[in-house]
Order: sequence, then C-alpha cells, then structure tokens
Amino acid sequence: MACPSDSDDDNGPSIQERIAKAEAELESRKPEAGPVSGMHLAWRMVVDLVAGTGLGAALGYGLDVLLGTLPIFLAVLTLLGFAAGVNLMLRTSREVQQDGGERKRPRDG
Amino acid sequence: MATEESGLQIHPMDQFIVKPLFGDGPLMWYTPSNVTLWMLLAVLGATAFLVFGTRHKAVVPGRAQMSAEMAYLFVRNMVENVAGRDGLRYFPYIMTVFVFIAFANILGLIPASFTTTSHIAVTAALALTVFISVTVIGFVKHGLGFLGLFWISSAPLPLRPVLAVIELMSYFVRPVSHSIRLAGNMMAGHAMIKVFAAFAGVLGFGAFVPIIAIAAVYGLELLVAFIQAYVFTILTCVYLRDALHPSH
Repeated sequence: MACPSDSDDDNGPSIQERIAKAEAELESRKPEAGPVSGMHLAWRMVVDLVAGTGLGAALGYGLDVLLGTLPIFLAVLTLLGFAAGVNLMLRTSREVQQDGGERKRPRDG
Repeated sequence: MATEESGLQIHPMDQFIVKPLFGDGPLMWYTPSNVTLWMLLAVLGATAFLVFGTRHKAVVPGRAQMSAEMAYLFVRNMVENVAGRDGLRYFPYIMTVFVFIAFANILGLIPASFTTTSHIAVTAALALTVFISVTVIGFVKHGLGFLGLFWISSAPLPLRPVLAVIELMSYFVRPVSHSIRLAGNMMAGHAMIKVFAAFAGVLGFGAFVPIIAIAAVYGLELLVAFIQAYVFTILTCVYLRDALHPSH
C-alpha cells in the first residue's frame, strides 16, 4: 500500500522522519505519570498496607484454627503481612522516584 | 444506620444488594440478577464504543472514532511504557480489562443503576485472573528462574531468606489489594452519595445543601470511576512487568 505522500518530495525530510521527530518531541514534553497521580498513589500505599496486614492476620488465624496453635501463627503472620505491606509501599515510592527522576525504561539494579 | 430522628432512614448499602431480575426466587449461580444485567450492559457498551465507533475507519475521525482511538492509544502507551515492548503481546487482555472496568464504573453512576465493580466478588475475580495469568506467564517464560523475583540478590546473604519470605507475602498481598482498591473506591463513593441523598430527603427547604454536595461528589465519582479503571490497568502492567523481567 504505497501512500501517495511518501515519495513526493525527495529534497526535504521524508514524512516518516518528520513523524518520528514530532513524536520524539511529544515524548519529551509528556507530563509525568497519569491523571491525579498523588491521590491514587496515596490510596495505593494505604490499601497495600491494610490489605497486607489483613491478609496476614486472616492466613494466620486460619492456620491456627487448623493446627490448634491459636496465638502463634496469628501473631507471626500478622507481623509478616505488615512487613509485606510496608515492602509494597516502599516499592511504590521507589517506582515514583525512578519515573520522576529520569525516564529510564530498563530498570537498573 | 437508621437513627431515631423523625423519619431519617439511611440505607446507603441497599443499592448493593444483588437481586434476581425476574421474580423473587432464590439466588442461584445461574439466576439472572441485576449484576448479570449491568455486566452485560457494560460489555455491550464497550462493544458499541469500540466496534461501532471505528466502523467507518474514516481518515478524519469523527467524535466516536476519536474517543475509541484515544482509549486504544492510552492503554497501548501505558502497556508499552510500564510493561515494556514485550508486554505488548498481552495488550488485548489489558485493553479488555480497562474498557470493561471503565464501562462498569461509569454505567454504575447512572442513577438507580447497579455498580458491578463495587462487589468484591467481581473485582476479586478480575484481580485473580490477572494474578494467575501473570504467575503462569512468569513461570512459562523463566521457569524456576521466576523465583528470583523473591530472592533479592542485592541484599546481604543472611538477610535474603527473611526478605524472601516478605517478598513472597507481598506477592500474595497484591491481588488482595488490587481487588479491594477498586471495590472499596466504588462502594465508598456510592454510599456517600446515598447518605447525602437521605439528608436531602428530610431537610425540606434546606435540602439544597446536600443536593449541591451530591453534585460535587458525583463529579468526583466520575473522575474516580475513570481513575480506578486506570489504576487497575496500570497495576496489571506493573505485575506483568515483574513477570516478564523478574530480576530486581
């Protein structure tokens, strides 16, 4: 499918080159992150934290009821779930920092 | 929720009750209910939006084609930026998820409609599908090397088992928070509107205050409906990236 426009001028830059240039320019001034990023990031972190603790507590309680060792797994897994929630929070904030600093696609580290 | 004030009956959660569509029979898994109806409407709306909008394939797009193309490019850029170029193979699925959730959320804002995404069962099913497919993709692509996702090689060796347990736990927390976030946001906003509406019902002449509040909350909810679809989709992309490139 030969477009009529891609062979008509030989002296200037071709249409593909101009499109690529325009896209590169658009890319460079694209606003960071999506709409209202602050609010959804805060929500993400809070929900991660709560869900982590809740999942840990639920898993621990279930294991305890099954095994008849009531407080042990509940305590351990709740703390573990909290740690997992904090871990997810930290990861989210690291993502934001990476994206905010430089637009590097291949993740270093 | 009902207080002893004169006639102030607030039932903000009544709007989330699942009822059979026809008659009052028992609710079985095959019973067509209001959830079925509104999910079907979301699917039909999404189909109309994308299929009929782009039917003419005009070079200069009209409004319908323009919106459909914008939605397509929006999700496509998101997948490419977040999950990487090799994530584009899974673009059709992610696009489906985005459009379905966006339509379910926005259709739920029609007064007297039913918000399917306010039910944790619906969002949990969506999140679990993502979770299971992402895990399967990870294991198929990397075999047991996928478990390297949990083994932080940058940490000192004695700490790694502890961190691995925490990472494993985080991995299982993700589908939980993924589904709770969407359902919670939708439910909270709709319940809030209902509470304001109940105030408007008893205030008489002063009802304009809650009505203005409802209008404001409604605008916010329109935003939230879109943002939550966006957040669900971008998190899907993040999880997909972890499955495609598990090295930390």
